[in-house]
Amino acid sequence: MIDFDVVIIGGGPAGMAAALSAIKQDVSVLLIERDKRLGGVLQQCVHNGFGLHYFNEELTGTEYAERFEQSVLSSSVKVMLDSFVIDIKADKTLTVMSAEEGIVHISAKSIVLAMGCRERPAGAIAIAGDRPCGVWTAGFAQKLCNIKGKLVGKRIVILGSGDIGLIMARRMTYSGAKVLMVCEIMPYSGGLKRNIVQCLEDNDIPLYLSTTITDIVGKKRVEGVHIAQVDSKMNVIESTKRYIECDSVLLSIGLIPENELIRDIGVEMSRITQGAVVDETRQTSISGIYSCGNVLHVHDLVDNVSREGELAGYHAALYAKSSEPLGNKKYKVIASEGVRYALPQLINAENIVGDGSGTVKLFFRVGGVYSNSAVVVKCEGREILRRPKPVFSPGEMESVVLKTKDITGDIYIGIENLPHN
Amino acid sequence: MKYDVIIIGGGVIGCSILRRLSLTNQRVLLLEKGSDVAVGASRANSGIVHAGYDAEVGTLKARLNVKGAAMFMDLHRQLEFPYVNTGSLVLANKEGLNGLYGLLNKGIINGVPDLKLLSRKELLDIEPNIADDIAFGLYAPTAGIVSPYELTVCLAENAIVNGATVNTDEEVVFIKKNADTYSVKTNRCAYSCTVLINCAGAGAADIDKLAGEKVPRMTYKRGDYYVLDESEYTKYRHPCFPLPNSNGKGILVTPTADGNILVGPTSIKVADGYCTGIGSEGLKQIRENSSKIVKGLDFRKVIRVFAGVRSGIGDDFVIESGMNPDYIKVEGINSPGLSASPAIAEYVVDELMLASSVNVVYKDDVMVYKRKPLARELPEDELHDLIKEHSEFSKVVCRCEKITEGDLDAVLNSPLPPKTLDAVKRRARAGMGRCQGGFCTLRLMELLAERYGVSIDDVTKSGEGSNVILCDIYNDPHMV
Amino acid sequence: MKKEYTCIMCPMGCSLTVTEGKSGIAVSGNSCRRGAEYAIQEYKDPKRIVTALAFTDVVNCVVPVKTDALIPKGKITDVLAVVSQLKISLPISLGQVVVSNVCDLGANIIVTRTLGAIGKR
Repeated sequence: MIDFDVVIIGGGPAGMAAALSAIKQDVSVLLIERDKRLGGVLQQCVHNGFGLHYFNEELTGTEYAERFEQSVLSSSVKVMLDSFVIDIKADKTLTVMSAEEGIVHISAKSIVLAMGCRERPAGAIAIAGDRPCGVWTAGFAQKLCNIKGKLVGKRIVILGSGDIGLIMARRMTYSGAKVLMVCEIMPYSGGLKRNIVQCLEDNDIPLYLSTTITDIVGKKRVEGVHIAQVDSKMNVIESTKRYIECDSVLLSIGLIPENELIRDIGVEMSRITQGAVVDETRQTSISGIYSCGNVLHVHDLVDNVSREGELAGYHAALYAKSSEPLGNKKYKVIASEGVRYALPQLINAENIVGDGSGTVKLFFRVGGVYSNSAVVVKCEGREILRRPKPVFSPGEMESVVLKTKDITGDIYIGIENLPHN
Repeated sequence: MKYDVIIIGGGVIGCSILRRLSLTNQRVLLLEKGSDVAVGASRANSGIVHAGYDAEVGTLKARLNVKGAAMFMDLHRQLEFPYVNTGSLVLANKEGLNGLYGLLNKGIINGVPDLKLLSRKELLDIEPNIADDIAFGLYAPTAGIVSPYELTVCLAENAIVNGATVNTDEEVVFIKKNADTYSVKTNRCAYSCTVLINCAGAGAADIDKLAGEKVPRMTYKRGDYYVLDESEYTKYRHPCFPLPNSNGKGILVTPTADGNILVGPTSIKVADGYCTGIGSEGLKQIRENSSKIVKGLDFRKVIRVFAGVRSGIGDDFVIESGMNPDYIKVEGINSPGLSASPAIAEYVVDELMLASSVNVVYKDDVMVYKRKPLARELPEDELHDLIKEHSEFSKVVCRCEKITEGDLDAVLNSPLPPKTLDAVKRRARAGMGRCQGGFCTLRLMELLAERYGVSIDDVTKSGEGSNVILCDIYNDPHMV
Repeated sequence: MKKEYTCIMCPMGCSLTVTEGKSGIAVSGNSCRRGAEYAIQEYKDPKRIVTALAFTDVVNCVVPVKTDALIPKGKITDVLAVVSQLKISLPISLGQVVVSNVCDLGANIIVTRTLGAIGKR
């Protein structure tokens, strides 16, 4: 058994930030990564738009990852690459498999989960029709293109307007393929506005909202797809059905936190985020186990992932030093009208930790497009925050900052329509 | 090349007969037009070993099903393919009691052992999530679940280690009857043999035509299925059927030998045996009907949908010598073909071939090919030692199923090595988990390319014409 | 002269119209000043950072690159044509210039990821 104060699982942006923040607290830190190199999915994100908030400059995903990678490698964080965590127990012991060491048992005072997320595959949405070659997740096409220099197709239809789909529409175009369209079943896009303009409009790629692929045609390889509009109840409008000739379909239909590792140890999970339920320190229901980044909830900006990693890493280090769990009494943060989820879901009642600034930042996502509305936060019937905004969109993660002194009970966060003037 | 016997078609039937013949003095070749065995109906079915109460009394289906089901446990012990003797349930509401009695009586006449009618209370003890209005059930303890493609691959592998040959990617395009032999040509090679066995499934009529035999009229029915995540596995313990109707056994809910839950099939008439496109109307039918027998099905946990085609000729199997006793027809093997497969092989080799020109004699020594256990199945200390010797066993390629590079090396060097991504999946389950290969496909492609000494550009999903990679970047002449 | 844009300054995504007449350039459809500024920039001289992949001397291994300054949107295709012809020798480090002053646009093409000699990954 090898002992560490803090063990971090996953060497992507969240895990690297957590490691760097924990090591500053003079604790021993182990970072475990299954890949041959740190960086996680950023290694295949060659587009720019990263780091505007964190570094105050615009970087590509690869540049962003490499800055953190260099910091980690020049720090005293112990890094295990090519290593796979096969088991975690609630007593914070881990079983790790690595090429060099074989099976290793590690005992941690605290653990930070930073395993990231995976793409929702085609099977999850049960498209009718044939099952030929040429239906891939956008992330798989991205990996082949950006790391191997290979294209999965030359005439492409993208289903789903998540950011990876939009980014890949531009990447495939820049790399010599023809992207025919992006179809989105919802009446709004799930991606960032900036990506719709710079990835689609710049390249004259149409985005069809309330439109889906009804079936896939092709025996060995995709030959085409039928697309159709859907009504407000998501039923296909048959009269709008048309055939599009293409050789590939890329899917960008959502991301799912990869929490299988902790499925059996009793961490309380949220059905909405599919990540752990955490307090403002990102501690889960098992004291000493923290969660951050996309394994906690799917982010749209890596800058927020890094910040969250730092927060979790910092508190995991404090926990390892003191081993004193926080008080048991916690206030709930409850998503009400219009808010799909808010995070953290819990706030420590007696001793609100926050980030030391006397404030707690709440992240939330709305459930639909709300224009001319305000986010309203209430505590014990009092309104403690109201912020109007021209528009709230499910594609963009929002945040509000609460003063700790206002938090005296359960928190309700909702969206209110403002009266038209 | 000259063989005693050529089998056309590498489904579960062809491979069962192949394996049985490999235990005899016969030189056997199996020809399969797909790039792997089990790529037709044997890949896409319910994976259930039926007990045998369904089939009409006095049919080949009844006889071979009951016998086949009884042979499965021995075969499983010998070859270790995934099979569980779960028993099965037919579930009915109050009005269905007569129907269950009908099945029970048929089962008794067919020789199905230990059938039992159960009350709701008894049912709840063994299957807690039956629908609220289910009042009675017929329990058949000899039924089970099997992975149909792993079974087929396992039979082929075992035939190969006993001297048989399996050639995939070879489509029979020409057959000629000579004085004592058949000449068989494929898209690649020419062969001759004494006995020709048609196990071509959906393509059986085409082979009969080439051989100058009487061509049967075939019917085709497509079955659509849902596969649910392994997290649902513990909800249902038995294959659960509704009362059968004229259209077949109806929409069932079953655990699979792979550890998922399967819901389906529909039964929709289609034009040929290759119409495996999934129908949205079929999927709707499944969602609506499955709740009649069980409760708690969570269709949000779907990880995959698929469809298979059942090819039939009339109401019974056609297993007989053709106009020439050296031509053996094994055709129209729809349900319960999988359950009957060991008995079909026995019937063909031990009875029908007696009339042929070859003299079948069983060999004394039988080789058994057993796959190495996966790294994840080993005790920790053994795995540790294995990794110290072969570090590939620490490199997890498929994280959902925890399949390592070492496991894949073993699969890629098995007696019937997989040539395609789909074939790797069928053997190692890599890419079969919840991410459906999103993370591991590229590494699988690299391992396949290394194994066959080709570029990753040449790796296909399911054979020629299904390359994952279409071209390099900047391949468009307009750009450069 | 009249042109339409979608504003990217916030999630609202206003539809902006830029009209150029004798009296100069006018923006309509915007909800704020940032929207107007964006529209005018996009109308007068839209610029982008271009990111792309370049082949290397290792089989099946590409390296990501970008322009180190904004370039006119209309020149993206020209820049990609240059990148598509590159064959970069590994190893190479983050920030290394592989084309200076590409297409005379005053921007260099630089590598955005350190890659080792054997092109692992």
